[in-house]
Amino acid sequence: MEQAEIRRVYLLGAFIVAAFATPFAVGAWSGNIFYDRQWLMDLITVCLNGLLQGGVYAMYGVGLTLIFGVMRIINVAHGEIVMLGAYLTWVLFNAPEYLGLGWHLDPLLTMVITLPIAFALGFAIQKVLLNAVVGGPELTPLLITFGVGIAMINLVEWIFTTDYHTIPYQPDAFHITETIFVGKNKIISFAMALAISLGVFLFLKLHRLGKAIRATAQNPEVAMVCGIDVQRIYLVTFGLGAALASAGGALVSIQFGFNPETGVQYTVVAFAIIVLGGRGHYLGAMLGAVLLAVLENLVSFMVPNGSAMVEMAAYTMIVGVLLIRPQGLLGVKET
Amino acid sequence: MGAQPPEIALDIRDLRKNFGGIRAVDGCSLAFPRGQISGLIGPNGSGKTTTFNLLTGVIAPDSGAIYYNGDNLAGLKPYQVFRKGITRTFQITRIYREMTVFENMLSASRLSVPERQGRARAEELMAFVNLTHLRDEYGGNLSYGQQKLLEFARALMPDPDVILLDEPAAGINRTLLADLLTHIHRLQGMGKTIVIIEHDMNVIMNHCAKIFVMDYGLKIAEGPAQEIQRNEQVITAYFGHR
Amino acid sequence: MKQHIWGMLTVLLGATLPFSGSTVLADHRSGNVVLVGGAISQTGRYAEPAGRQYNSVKLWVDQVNQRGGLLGHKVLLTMLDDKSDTQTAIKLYEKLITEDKVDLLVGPYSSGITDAVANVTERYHMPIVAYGAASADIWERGRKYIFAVNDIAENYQKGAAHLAKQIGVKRIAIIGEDSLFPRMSRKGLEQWAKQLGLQVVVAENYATQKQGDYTALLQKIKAQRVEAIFSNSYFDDAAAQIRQLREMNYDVKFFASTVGPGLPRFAKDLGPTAEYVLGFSQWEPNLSLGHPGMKEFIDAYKARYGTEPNYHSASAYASMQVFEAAVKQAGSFDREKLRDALSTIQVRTMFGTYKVDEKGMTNHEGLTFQIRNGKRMIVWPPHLAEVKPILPVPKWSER
Repeated sequence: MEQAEIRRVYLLGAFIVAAFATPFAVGAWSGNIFYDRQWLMDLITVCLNGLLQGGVYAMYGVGLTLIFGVMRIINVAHGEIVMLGAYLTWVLFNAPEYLGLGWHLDPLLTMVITLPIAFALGFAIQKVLLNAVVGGPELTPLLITFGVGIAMINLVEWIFTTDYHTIPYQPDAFHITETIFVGKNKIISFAMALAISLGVFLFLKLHRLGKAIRATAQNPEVAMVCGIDVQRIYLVTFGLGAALASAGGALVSIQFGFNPETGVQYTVVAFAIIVLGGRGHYLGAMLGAVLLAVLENLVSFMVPNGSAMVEMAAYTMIVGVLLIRPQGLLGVKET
Repeated sequence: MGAQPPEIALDIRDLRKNFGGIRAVDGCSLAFPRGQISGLIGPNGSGKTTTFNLLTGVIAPDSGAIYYNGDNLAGLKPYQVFRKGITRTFQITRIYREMTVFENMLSASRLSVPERQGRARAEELMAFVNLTHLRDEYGGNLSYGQQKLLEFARALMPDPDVILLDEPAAGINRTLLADLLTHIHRLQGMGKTIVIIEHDMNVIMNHCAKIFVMDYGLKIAEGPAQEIQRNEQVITAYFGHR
Repeated sequence: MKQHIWGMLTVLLGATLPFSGSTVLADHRSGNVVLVGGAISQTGRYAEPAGRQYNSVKLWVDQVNQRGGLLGHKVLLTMLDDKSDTQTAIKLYEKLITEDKVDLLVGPYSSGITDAVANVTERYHMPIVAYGAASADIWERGRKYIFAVNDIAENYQKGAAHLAKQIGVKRIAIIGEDSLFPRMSRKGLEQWAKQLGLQVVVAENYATQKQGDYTALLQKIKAQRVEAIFSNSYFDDAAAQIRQLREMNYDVKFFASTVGPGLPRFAKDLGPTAEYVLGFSQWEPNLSLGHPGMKEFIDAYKARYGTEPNYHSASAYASMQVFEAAVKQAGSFDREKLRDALSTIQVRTMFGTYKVDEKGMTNHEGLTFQIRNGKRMIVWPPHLAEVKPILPVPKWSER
């Protein structure tokens, strides 16, 4: 590595340390830090919660980064697919009840059905709308996915109205120690997110189709002449991205409230994560997600009126990282 | 379908491609002999690389035919051409910079070939071009010459019948070039058909059995080296009217 | 400079328009029709409560036409969609008044949007009854053409604050979305807290555009040993907060929210987690409130929409009842005459008695309820209480 690049990495490390130290400094100054054991336990809970939340964030991020990495398409409808995933989960969760069976389908089990549906949807969107415009001006797919997103919002609104919904899944606390509690559903969500993200990561690393996807991401022209059916790779990639988004939706549905219009929040979070982690970089998205979530939680916990400053803190960190390293944390400089 | 003579591996007939009014390839017919090394030359912008792109399906021709083993390749997708046994290298090397040498090799393995067999072949070809010691190095960390060798070896992965080489000599040193030419001759010895685009006239004149010359999208001459060197039209195309 | 001139022109236009507008009567329309218009959030963040209000307006229009219309004119309704967006609402109301030339104007939903729209209606001297608004601020600006039916935002946590005092709570936290209505609710609560001797230890507003993890904020509140949480929240934030309290195993003496728990979905979707939550309501479909016409309204609403009306539906319906009475009293659709009628009239609606003070505000009193077995049971004020509240609420571990 060159001297300048090494210096940059040090600078980046210093900046991130400073970003995480700031809430502590503000907290100490404003009297939101108590120097006792109880407070330390609270702090650990908050960090742990941030980590768990990062898992859900990562679920939004990896799908988007995958699609961007392979096709250079910014899928603005990503959050809407998350939202759709939440609705699909909610519908299947309640379906047996509506049929008069008197029980609910386990929301995690519904993924067996929802993920293939989302995959098929992504596949269809790519086939019908996007395959023709990959590699063209970046604005065209942006506008198309924007339109798809709006259509999805209105469709869901038309069927389910704008009511908020949520699934009361495993609502109890999980006792880690006498004083540290986290939600059971959060632990389960995190485990799911980790399992799915790592599963897809290993698929990309080891499976032939996964390798073909990575090859296409790196250079579609070479992939073409190396015998890869690039058009098909695009279909699979968008399908996979949609399935990942939908898995994120399932996790949203068991933790938070959602309605047809909450999709845009997920797009924003996903976008922030992939910019932070490195556009198109899979592990970068996971790292970015965790950093972002933990920082948000620390700010909210220690800074006075911190809940209103969460976004400011998050974007300050992103802008700082980009100034030092424009390609993001793990991203590779584009040549 | 027009009959394709058995001694011709790739029979291009009246191929045309316009780019927004610019006739890149303008009714060109070329017949590359089977089992031989052919050279494709011409001034910059004469349509050589476009011809390669048309041959490999990267772009689709406006009209014309490309006969190969009795099939017309015109309009096929790149992966379909690849699966028929035609591979290529690029003028500016295109390798996966973030993959290891070994992974680069595997990426060109045919899907129908079992994984283990593909790995064995990759090892074999890395040995063939003396890259085994760089097996786990990232593509982006190789020297330019090494990248050319890697790209060349990768093009051999699916055991193709026809290999198209776009300026293999550009940007590499004499020793490496000599190695590369040895490899090319060994391939020819195995019965492969090889087509080389090259500006290095030493390579073309000393190693190609037959030479095709293009200018303004058209074939202006073809024949063995001695004939081409004396051809008035070729001299005009390269040096202008004297 | 150019902008300056345009600004002046707008002011001039604004000043002259009302005079030309006030002479317009229903007779100008063919077919003896009176046009009632408004814009409400049919899509977007507010679509849920706003939709209930729109339902009531539609119900009233059909009923009044069956009764022979307003002053013998058939009522025609045109309701536009502001998409829960303030700027859109302003434009639509301008259009309704100047282009569509509506005879009667009905209000939008939410305090923020109503406040913005009131600037337009005031300029054209169009009277409206603000069934979708509850912030006192709206009536503190000397406006003359806007009338209230609801209890004000500042009182939404009044009942809960009194209950806190009753059970000996000392340290409280006030949280809420960073928008007009929750801020007003917070302002009122801070005054009640002062008056009742409750100590506000944490007071924070949050941006709701985030996906809804409030754990860190609640952890901060827990670290401050807060006993009761007052959340000025809608559905999504209130639901997330009560769930996360449970996940954290944080036992507060109670959790009181403003809008969220009043929505029927709250108790239904959250199930046992929603139990014992305190909420605020302007009105409940509970005949013991004893307002005239309640039963008829509840039955008609249920028959038409297949669901019980909540307070949003009721306040909108009551506003239409008030309008009907005012038109009758004024004997015309003249804006000034209508305004005079609305400011002096006393009407007994199914929502309560309508009578405004010089600012245009009513003294309608809201209710505090507790969710018990999935139902909203009135617990405050004492003379209307259906049940005795269970406070402090049972510990999570004992449920």
